Amino acid sequence: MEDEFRFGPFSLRPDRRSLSRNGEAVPLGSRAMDVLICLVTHAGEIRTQAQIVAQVWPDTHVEEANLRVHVSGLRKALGDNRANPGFITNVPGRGYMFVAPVTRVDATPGRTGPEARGVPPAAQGRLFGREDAVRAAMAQLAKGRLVTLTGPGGVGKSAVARAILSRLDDGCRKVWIDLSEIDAGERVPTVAATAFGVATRSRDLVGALAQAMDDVPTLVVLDSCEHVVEAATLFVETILAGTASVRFLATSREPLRACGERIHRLQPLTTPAADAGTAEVAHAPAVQLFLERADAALGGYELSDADAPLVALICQRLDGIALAIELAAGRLETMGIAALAASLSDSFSVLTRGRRTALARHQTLRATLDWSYMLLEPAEQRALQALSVFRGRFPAEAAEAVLGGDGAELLAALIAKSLVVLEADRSVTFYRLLDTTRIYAFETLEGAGELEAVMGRLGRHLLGHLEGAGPYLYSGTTEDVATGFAHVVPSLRACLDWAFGETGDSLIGARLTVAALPLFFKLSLCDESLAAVTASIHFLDANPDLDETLRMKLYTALGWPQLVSADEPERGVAAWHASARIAERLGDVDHQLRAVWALWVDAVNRGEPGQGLMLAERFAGLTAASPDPADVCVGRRMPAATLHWLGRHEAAAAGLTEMLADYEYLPAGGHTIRFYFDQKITAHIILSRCRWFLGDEAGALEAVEAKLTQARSIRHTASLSNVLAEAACPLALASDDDALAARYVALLKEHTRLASLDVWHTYAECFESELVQRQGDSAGCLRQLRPNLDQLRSSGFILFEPVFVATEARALSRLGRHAEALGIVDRALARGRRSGGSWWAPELYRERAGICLRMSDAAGAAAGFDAALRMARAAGATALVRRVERDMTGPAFTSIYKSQLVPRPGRRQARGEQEPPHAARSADTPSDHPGPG
Amino acid sequence: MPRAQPIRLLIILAPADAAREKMAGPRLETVAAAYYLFRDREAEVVLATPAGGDAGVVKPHPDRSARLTDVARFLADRTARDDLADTLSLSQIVVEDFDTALCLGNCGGPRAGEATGIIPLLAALLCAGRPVGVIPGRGLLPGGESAANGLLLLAERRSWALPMAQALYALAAASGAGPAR
Repeated sequence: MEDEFRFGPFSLRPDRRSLSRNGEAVPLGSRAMDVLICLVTHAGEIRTQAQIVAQVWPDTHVEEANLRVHVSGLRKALGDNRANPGFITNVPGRGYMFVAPVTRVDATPGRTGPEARGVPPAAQGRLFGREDAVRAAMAQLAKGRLVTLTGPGGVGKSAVARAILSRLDDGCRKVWIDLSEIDAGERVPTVAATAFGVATRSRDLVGALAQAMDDVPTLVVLDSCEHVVEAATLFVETILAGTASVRFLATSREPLRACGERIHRLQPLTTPAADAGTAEVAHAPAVQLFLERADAALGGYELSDADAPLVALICQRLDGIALAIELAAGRLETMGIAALAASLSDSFSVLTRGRRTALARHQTLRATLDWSYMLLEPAEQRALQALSVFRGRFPAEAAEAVLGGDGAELLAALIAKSLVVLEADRSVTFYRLLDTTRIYAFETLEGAGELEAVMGRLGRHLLGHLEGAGPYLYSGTTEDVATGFAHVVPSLRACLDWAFGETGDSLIGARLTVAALPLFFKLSLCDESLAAVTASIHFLDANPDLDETLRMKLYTALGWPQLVSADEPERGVAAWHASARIAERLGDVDHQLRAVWALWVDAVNRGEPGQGLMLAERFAGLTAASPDPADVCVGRRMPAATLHWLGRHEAAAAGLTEMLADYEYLPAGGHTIRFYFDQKITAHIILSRCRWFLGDEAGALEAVEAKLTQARSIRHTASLSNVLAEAACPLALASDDDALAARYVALLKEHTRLASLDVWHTYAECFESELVQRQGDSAGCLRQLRPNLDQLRSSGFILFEPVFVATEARALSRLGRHAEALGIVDRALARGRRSGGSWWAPELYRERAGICLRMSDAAGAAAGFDAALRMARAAGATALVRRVERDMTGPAFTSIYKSQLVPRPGRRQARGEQEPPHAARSADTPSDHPGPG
Repeated sequence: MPRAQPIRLLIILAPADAAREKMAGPRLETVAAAYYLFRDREAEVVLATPAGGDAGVVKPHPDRSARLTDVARFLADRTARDDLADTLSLSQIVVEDFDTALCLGNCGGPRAGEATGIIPLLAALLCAGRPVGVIPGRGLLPGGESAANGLLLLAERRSWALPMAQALYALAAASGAGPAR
């Protein structure tokens, strides 16, 4: 259990050695922190000076005055005062007592509240001398859509950006994107997509992002663009061109040079003049920053006349670069001001070799980093190097895992020296290395030849962390998972890049990939999953028998719908076959079930329900050996659903109703993740379809609406899109409710645009083309439908082909292209006969009849209606029977019937008369009906 | 006798003249060629512009950048990019600290009474006996500045940047016994 102590607006985490006020970190020297911990953990008790000294300085003799300095510093940090103490009181002659009420809470990770995504990290310390810069940049943001804060590293660009963000109150959404977390420019859109919850497999990622970003007026901070400046510029220009209400605030050492960019060059902090008096020195912003940090490091520090020239010299020497000043002040705990000034001076004189020309500021910073690094203890140097493997922020336990034994102490030492910064966010404390420091430390890590060892430790830590969180990553909502785990992604990414690189450990990479998959999927990082899975499989295929279970899991992942793009459907099937083979060899029932399920999905999608039924039965057979009773239910759902596509709606409905009744009693489990969709929702989708076909149109549409609400409530985009694509859109269209259909199609388009759901997006386009046709624009319908239908066919999604062929045929026929229309209908009917997918055949016959009517072919029309009626009645598809009957009593058929006196099949059948032999023959052999040419 | 310190080159970058559109800023390929010629010979390079800060050089189109070796190298070189993004201002330059200087971009002609700026700095370098190269050098000679003790190399075309840098390096090296090893 990790304790957190709360008093007033403060939160103290002894394990993390962090103090925060209203979520903002309060800088405190390490001794002052020890004193505070000693007092707070004994709140309400008098602690004698001897007791405090014994706890804080266990091995050193310390004067009482020293303790007084730290207590005074503490009071200052807490905003307390001696005369009227609210927190720490002095009990004369005895010691000190913490008097404020303290609440002790368990702050173990996972018990803390979620942090909002995209909220910028809390600033550490105050901002000095930046008032004008903040105001000027804000004024520029009011005029232009791209403002770039430029200036050398360490000058304080990010701090100014944070200040701007916290002050801006024009009601816009604010999103912070830290580009220092990525190495490659091509990942700029990916990290932006994550920030906006857009899946990375969208066909047009930047376009999808532009739409998502433009929903509400938005200010995006792109922090640390310099190492990916070309990619950032391209990204910003594209987004600005495609949006109206998005603004960017970028920080970069060099300008983006993008269209319409307004550049605000951030100057270093003003340093005092050489001959300034103490008051003037203390007033200079560079000195104010130094004094604040000195105060924190020493537990109280006032600028004396003696120190003023030295402090001025230090700040001038460091060129007013904020980070350099912080690094220097961070040393005051171990050396006095004079020693500090002398040490810095020595260090710089080596660098300048007596030359008087100024150093470039990045050289000054680099020299300060060198100086600071050289002053570290060897163990601290190694710790700083090791921490550079983290990208972005990291929690204490991750740091300790990478640092080993005395990690907590080393982390505290580096914080005290300003080499590691603290980011307190509510009750969760994170640490990070500023980009400049991290790059420096990473170079020394590589130079020391320790990269492999440290990355290996990071990899093993991440593996344990992600494996431990597995069930939560599967079951948690996207928002909760993003809140708890988004900080892991940059380091995970870096670790995977290393693992699959030349000097990495691919086995760690493969294991990490499998453990990270649920996180990647949850955060819709599909491209990255695919890259990692592919690299892992490549490695394991080349090293057979190294870890077959791992290989099986990777093939399972490779077959996942998210990873199968529309362009190469065969890869998914091949992956599932591979996974099934390995699972069978290993006797792994779970993965056999997953693979057979996926192959069944594929068969159904390919419009091969006959084959699907065999796979469904194979699945049902396997469930006997499964420890999960829910699998038996899934095994009953699959054949029942398949029956629907075989045109046996009544049997399908009965099977599904039975399965759903049993499923109710099963505990909620990981089925959504194992079988991709929520099993209950997907069963209901087919059940609603069956109800519609069986004649209960209103009940079916009502059930569909209820399932949409449910899918929304569990926030499962895939299930939601599934309901829309397989039930809501087609059933609304089949019910001729165009307004409802238009609403559903729009919803489907919206959801599939943002997610990586290419196929369903294509479905949406096809459904929409039916609406276009109904509005009388047949040419427009064909323009929209045909490329999308081709796309579906080439992706192996044939299931709904009969529906779309009916649309296409009607459009062609209305344009007078009857022969073509009949040709495609007949081909679709023939295909249905081969595959057993006859569920929409009555409608195809009805369309055929309609085409014949337009050709004034009464016999053909009658034959079509006749076949449609027979098939619909045989399937018990009352809804389809009604549609045929409606057409048969419509004016078109009636007038032709009268003029040509063709037997009316429906009436004849209704009267129990013999069918005309030619009608039956025509319907069964559609090729007997050549078009008029 | 070996030099105590490495050769030091000052590259002065004249900014674009917004008032005269034809005068674009210096091009990255020119800067990169000279920069790496010196850096690869263990010399130090300091970049300066009249006001300091970002030099505003003209970058080639990304497709072309990839084909230009020096440019691609420069764009992938964090230190080089930092040098160019935060140049020193001319007022921070002490002439004695440099062995040679190269001015790229249109530095304009000498203006009477001008005490600071590129031309006075070039004059100071020449007076101190430093070899100085200027591209383009149109308008500087004849009859303008005296090269005093230094040697002034002028060229018109950007393609002369590399040979001029080679010449400046050779002159600087000859003035001592070569860079410190």
